[in-house]
Amino acid sequence: MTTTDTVIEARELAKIFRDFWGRPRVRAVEHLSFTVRRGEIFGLLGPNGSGKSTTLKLALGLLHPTRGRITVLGRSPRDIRAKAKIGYLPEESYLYPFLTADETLDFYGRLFGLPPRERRRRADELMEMIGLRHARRRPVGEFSKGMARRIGLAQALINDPDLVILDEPTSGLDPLGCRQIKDLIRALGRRGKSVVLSSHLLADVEDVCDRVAILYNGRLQAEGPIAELLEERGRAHLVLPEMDEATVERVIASVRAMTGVEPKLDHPRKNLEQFFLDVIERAQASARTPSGATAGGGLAQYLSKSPADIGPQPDATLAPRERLRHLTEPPPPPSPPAS
Amino acid sequence: MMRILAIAAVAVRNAVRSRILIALILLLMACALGLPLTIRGDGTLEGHVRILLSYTIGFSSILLSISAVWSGCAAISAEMRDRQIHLLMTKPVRPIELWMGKWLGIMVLHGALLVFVGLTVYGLLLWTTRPTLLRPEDRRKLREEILVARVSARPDESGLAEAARTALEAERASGRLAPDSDPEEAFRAMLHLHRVHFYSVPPGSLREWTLRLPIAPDLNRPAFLQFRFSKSELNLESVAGQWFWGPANAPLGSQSGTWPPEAVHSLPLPAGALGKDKTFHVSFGNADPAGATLFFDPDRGVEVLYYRGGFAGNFFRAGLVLFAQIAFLAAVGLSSGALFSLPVASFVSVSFVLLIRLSGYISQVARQRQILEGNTPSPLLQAVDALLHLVFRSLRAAITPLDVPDVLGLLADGRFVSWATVGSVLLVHGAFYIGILALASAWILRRRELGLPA
Repeated sequence: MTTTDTVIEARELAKIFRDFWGRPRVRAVEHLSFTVRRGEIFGLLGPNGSGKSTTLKLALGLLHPTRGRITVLGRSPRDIRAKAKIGYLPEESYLYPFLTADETLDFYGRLFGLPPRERRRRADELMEMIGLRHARRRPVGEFSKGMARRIGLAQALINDPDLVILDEPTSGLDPLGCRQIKDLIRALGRRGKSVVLSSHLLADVEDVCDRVAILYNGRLQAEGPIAELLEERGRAHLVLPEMDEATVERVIASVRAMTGVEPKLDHPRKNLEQFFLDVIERAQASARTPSGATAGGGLAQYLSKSPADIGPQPDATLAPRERLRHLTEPPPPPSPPAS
Repeated sequence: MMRILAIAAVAVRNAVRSRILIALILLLMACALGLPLTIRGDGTLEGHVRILLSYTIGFSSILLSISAVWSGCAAISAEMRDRQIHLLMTKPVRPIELWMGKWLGIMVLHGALLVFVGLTVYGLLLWTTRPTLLRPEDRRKLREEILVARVSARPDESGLAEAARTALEAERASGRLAPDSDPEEAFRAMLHLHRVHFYSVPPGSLREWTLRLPIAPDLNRPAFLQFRFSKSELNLESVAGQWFWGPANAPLGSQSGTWPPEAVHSLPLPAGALGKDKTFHVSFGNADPAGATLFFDPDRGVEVLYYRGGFAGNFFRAGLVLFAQIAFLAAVGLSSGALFSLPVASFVSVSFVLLIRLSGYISQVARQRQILEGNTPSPLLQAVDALLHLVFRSLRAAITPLDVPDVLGLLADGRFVSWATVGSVLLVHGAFYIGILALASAWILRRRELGLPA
């Protein structure tokens, strides 16, 4: 692995919060070493107070390490050249409540030195992506928590960042919003962006992350690819098409005869999230103009490296979730040339 | 620059949408329209105009100063409290850009409000002195004495320092001066004695002063001899006397009369009295029948005021000085807010402003030979005294440059607010002190951990 493949590198990182007299009060992070690679979706997992947010703040330069070293994109986190390539979504909405959604995106776009036309284009695409086009002229202070979360995510992406740091990205979102955010994170990963997210919602992390680090009491407890960490060695899961009862009995008898173990039979079920999303999708098909966030329209175009990476454009007649899936799934391989 | 402007624009939007701007406009309007109605002047038109110029603009500038300090304190500390700074400082924004953006936003707002106050007062002035309301001679008097920028010339005191030094040497040589006396203090006392003598006119005598005019006078414009004196008798009866202008041995004109003590008198000089050679001689003969000695105020007891420019330019220059002061106060608040929470920053800023207001007292204490009282000073007292001296002298060195001439007083007296005054205030307040505060705040923000738990 070359240095350019490393996006965040922490070595023996420690953060001790002290009281007014300089006495150690809380050891938030200790002996923490980890690496985040380019294009990877990396999850920081842990219970409340485990040091996730502190670690993210160290990576953002908002806190200074007591010991150890952390580099982001090969530079100090406080270097503005590194900051220019980072997008950050904090755990709470720290947006200006008196600015409208449009003004919010324009303001953060100006901080990145984007020209006016580009700011407008990106704001349009992001508004479409987060499903807040209808609320763009409303002050952010009037938004629900979920809407504020979406606009927070949009500001984190306004600069087309190489590294996106998301602190509890699905906090405050309804299941539909959670699903959209997770789809978006996966899409960002496919477009070569590095994503670091912290969460205590294990299902969310499992759904989107390539690798995770689990923190407890400020120390690293486990780290590795999700697939490796969760794999149960010595057991296999076989999925069969629907069969009549006699055929099933014969399959079970064969397995029993070959392995000497009694196999367990059950039927696959939709999870509650999937069921909920299906219900909402049906309801949306007949809904009038909503007051909150709509489903969103897929990844903003400018976040792709080039138009070819985007793949086919969504059919506007499709249901919102279908459009999102259409955009976020990898493009099909090119068809062979005709002979 | 784009980042600075973006932050400034958000600061202005915040003020407008949080209704701070409307509240300030209402307060300023109440001040501009209400004060002239509630403050009772001397009943004259000049008094009314002076109230408009000094009280109305003075109160408005105090309001704007308080608002600037508070806005400065809140601009960064409130964002730290509400964590908006987490988003701001994770963008490619340098701490100095954050500070400059906030400061610029506050200044755009307060600059606009100061212009609003200025235009309102100017409009009121035009309204209250409109031709249909005043007699032509009243209008002329206003235009010549208040709504004008006049330059002042005072008696030439250049020989006094040398005379005081010579007298001090003579005192020392005769042994009448204590050997351990502070030479600086002794010189100041002797110079003061000489000045008092220089401006005193014993009964039945004539005192001549030579005034050096800073610029050649316009002989077609009116000039005024302004004077103020006290007398050795403890009564306020008018004193008879005679003024002469031109050399004492060949006066060009004179004016006799009786004038009460402890009041400012303005005597119009005839056209061409000043001459073109930038030197003016004036003498006063004390004809008080009670035989009282007259003491003209050494600071503004005898002076000639003559035309230098129009009122509008003077008004504008005074506004620039006020703007520079407000800019400095905003910078003080902003820097405190970068270091402390909002309540602490407000307290620190107000204390600092009070310290500036006490600069006269600080200078006086710093000049004292001994600060602590005590006839038998112990080594400990001496050490504490030396430390206090160091503190007061440092404070004097830091604060004295911030002492700004009373431009509203100058404006209400129809005196010239010079471009040199404006330039020095802009340079000291605007460039030097604000620059230092900006750099110090940027350094603090760079070192400060913005993500600490509340």
